[in-house]
Amino acid sequence: MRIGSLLLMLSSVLALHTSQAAETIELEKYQRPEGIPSPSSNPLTAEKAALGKTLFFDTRLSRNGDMSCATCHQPDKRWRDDRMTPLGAENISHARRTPTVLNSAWLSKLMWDGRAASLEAQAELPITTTHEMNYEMTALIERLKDVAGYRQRFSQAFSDDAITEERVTKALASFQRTLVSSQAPFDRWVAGDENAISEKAQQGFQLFNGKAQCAACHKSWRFTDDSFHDIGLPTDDLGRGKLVPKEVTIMQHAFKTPSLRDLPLDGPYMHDGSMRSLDEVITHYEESGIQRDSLSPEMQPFELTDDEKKQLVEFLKTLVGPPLAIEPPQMPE
Amino acid sequence: MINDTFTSSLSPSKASSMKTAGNGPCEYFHGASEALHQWRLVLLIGIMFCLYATPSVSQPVTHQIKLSAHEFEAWNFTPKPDDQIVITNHSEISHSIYITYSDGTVENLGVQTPGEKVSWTVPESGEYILQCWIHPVIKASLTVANSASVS
Repeated sequence: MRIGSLLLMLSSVLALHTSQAAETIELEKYQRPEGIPSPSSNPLTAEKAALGKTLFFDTRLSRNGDMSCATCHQPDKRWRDDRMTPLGAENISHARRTPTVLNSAWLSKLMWDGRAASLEAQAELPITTTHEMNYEMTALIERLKDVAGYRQRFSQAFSDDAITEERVTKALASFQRTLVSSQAPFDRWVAGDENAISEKAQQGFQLFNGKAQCAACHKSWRFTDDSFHDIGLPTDDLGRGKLVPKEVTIMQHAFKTPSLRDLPLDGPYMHDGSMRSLDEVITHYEESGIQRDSLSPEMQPFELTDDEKKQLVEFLKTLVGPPLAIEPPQMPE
Repeated sequence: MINDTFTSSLSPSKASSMKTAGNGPCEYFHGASEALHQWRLVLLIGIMFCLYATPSVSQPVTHQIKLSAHEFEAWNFTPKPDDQIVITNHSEISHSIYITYSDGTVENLGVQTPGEKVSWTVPESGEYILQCWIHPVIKASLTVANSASVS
């Protein structure tokens, strides 16, 4: 009886300790936002998002007519693909893997190197890039004008049925803004459901914010700082470094921190898709990557036990919610 | 500090002790010494007056800016040319601040680890943009006034 009471007291103390530790991490920083932001120049409307969805799935946006945005950003693969690096229109491999378009409404720098400053600016890039959809915007507009069904859809989305480059990118951006990660077990835990994630995952969350230092870059409800870091991968790709003055050494080989929400359990991971398991990723961070002048100062070596690695992976699994229930649209003729 | 010195020079007790020292064979020299001291006082007062009356050329000032993980803390000063801006990294992550001048010139302040300070001397009046290479979300504008417009 006494031993039972002692164990009960001990478990209460441990539970209190865990809950206090979670409080010190400031859980409110991980709370999901209420609504979806959109710029005043392109306010979000259902009609624009519907038009954007049609365009997103339409292979006529590529020169050869065999590739749409959804070819790489696949709904059943969390709006990315499972290739290490994607294939373009001319079957040319990219140097960087397909990022998800989930939660892109909150991004201020898009693409792995941040070269697009808005979703509207980004929308044009895959269409016109030679090794992606390999088309010209002017030719695309002429092609869309020949599709009678599109005139009606543009008319519903905008004030008239004019089909322009700006309207195409605004509609695509609007649809992408509606792609928001579903509620995951972690969200329910942050909202107060103590049983939403396991004890093991909670310990993993402590490691994520503590010893493993993941939260130095993977922060906020999207688990990214929307910033650029060289994490010491073997690569010749300068990433962000190609877009900034050469003397800014810290940006060489730097890429945007990806969100950790809705991660596929079998990868590929990293900007170059070079890793296939979370264990491999954790080991890379433990060893802190290639030591070079551009290496992020946040890349400090640490060591986790096998149990701790499992806890960390268990936590990352709690960031996966149900897939979005989005059916492909009917293509206009 | 200067006022304190000036007051003690005019203290009655000191003036009185000078007069009593005039008795004896060296009275003439003592009198001359007293006159010299009075001239010094007049000169000192004159210098003080000139310093007070001349429009002051203000000295450069050092301003402090705090940098957190995501932003610069708001500041309420308006610097002027030649002032120094000291930015202290109060976060637990590193930053790399750069300043963009109105003509597009960029000045890098280098990588700044937690707790580290970097400084920049304001070259001239105008608008400057402060940003972080690593974290684009960190962005603020700084207005630098003309020297004449800062009292």
